Amino acid sequence: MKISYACLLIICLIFLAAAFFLVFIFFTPRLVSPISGRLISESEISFEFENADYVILSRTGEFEDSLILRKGVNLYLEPGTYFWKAKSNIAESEVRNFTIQTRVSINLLEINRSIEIINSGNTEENITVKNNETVVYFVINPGEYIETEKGELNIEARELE
Amino acid sequence: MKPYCLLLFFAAVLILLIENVYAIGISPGRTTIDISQGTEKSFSVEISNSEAKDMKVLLLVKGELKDFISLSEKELAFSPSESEKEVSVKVNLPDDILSKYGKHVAEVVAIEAPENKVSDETIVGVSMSVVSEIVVNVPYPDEFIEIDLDVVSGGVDEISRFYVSLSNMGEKLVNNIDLKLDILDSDGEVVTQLKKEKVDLAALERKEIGFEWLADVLAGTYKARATARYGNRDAVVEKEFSIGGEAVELILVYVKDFQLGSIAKFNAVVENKGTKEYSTVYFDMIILDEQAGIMDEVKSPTDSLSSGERKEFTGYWDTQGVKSGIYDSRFTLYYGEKKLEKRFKIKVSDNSIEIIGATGMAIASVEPGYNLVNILIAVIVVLFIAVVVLGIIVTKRRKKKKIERGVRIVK
Repeated sequence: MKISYACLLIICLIFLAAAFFLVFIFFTPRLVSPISGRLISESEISFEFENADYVILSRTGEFEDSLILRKGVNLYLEPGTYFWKAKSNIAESEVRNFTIQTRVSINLLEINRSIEIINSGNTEENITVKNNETVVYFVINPGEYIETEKGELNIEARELE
Repeated sequence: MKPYCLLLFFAAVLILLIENVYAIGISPGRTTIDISQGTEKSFSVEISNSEAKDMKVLLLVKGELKDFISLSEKELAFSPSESEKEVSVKVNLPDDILSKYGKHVAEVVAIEAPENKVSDETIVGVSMSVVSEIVVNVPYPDEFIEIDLDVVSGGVDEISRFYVSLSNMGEKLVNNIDLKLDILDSDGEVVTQLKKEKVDLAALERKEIGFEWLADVLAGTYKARATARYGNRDAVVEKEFSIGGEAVELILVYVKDFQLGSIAKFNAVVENKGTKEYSTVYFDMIILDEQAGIMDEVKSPTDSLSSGERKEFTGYWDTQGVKSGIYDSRFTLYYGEKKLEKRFKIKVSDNSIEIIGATGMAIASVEPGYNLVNILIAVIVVLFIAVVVLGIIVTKRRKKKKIERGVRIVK
């Protein structure tokens, strides 16, 4: 059976289109989670994606000052809105955003005659410690703590202005 | 007495000293309501019980808008298995608020009040509360830009990042906002000026603009001043920040090649960014159990750290009898007369120890198929070449046929 060059050309064009289609379907990076616009208050966040090598994360939608996250890389994310996309060596995904909400949280340890107040949230906290006689204000960074004497105490934490 | 016996003795004393641990959290810390979307809004706040214990929480609303805010619950009871609970907040503001321009605030307060108890012949009563603010911004009839600045400072010769947020608090579109960021040294002299393209802001729109600066300066305290010029007005915000921060910086804490039950090797990478040499540098890490009692202590040997030097300090933790789980820890790096304190969570698994704070992690749910991609790319390239070659052949043959036909007609 003889196949003309024109037929061969058409067959090659069909195969080429099929190959492009396969690349588009199976190898375009896709984002799984977090979904766009998600508000996150947990302290840990996982980026899940398919068909990509790494995630690009930025505070701006234009990805001006972006960070590259490879699988298994940890980093500290401060509260705020972030934009992210996944990228492979041939294509990149759509852009999604999520917001890490501030979390005001305090832990209190009673140790002998003193009390340790720990900022266990993810934002700078303004802490007011009141007892019968005095009111004292502290600003504590996440993870830091202050010590105060035990007694009738009223401790209030709020996000720093 | 042997040193480790002494260590165990102190650990036991500390366990006895810790009497109680309380914890409460609320998220978000602040919610801003866009009044242009209506005077009614519903959202939720999350109350957390991070110590996983029985806890009763009272909820109340305070502030000038308290009469217009209602909560779905006034009291929450947590059991140890409940780590968080959501409370719905309904805001229904009166119409006359639209004529009260500016910022109005209300507070959702979550209070944990442990039972009073007697300790050392003193009645101890501690009440803990956390506040989630509700901010309502009523737009000004004129142009009004609010500006804020966030600084994520790095070390010397590292990138420091500045995030300027601009909020149009007015009812009108503001065009051509000219934004610049000045970095000033401790004498108030401008070290550098960074500029961005002009920004437009619709009514009540908020945009965040990022700046980067390579801090090729000496370690010390600096000031960032962001200025947004719109019309004839300037909105200005200033924030102090330090380059180099602490002279000695904790870069990383990690554990590798770990099996539960064996001895974990904690490596703390420390860098001296200052000019002074420290002869006594070591770390001490106290690992707390679920009741915040001291479970163990990890201490590194003392070593020196010269200016500009980066060194690993190593401490060992015997995990015999330790269960998988997440443990709180108190990490203290001692250098000279100073110390640097950090709080970490330690996630102990069967074959790994992860040191975590608030972290993000990238997880590829499907491994990318490099080989198949490469094969497909090769196939595309081959097919493309074949299409081009065949196209040329087919075109040439057609031309040849046309010429042959022309010759026959002429004959």
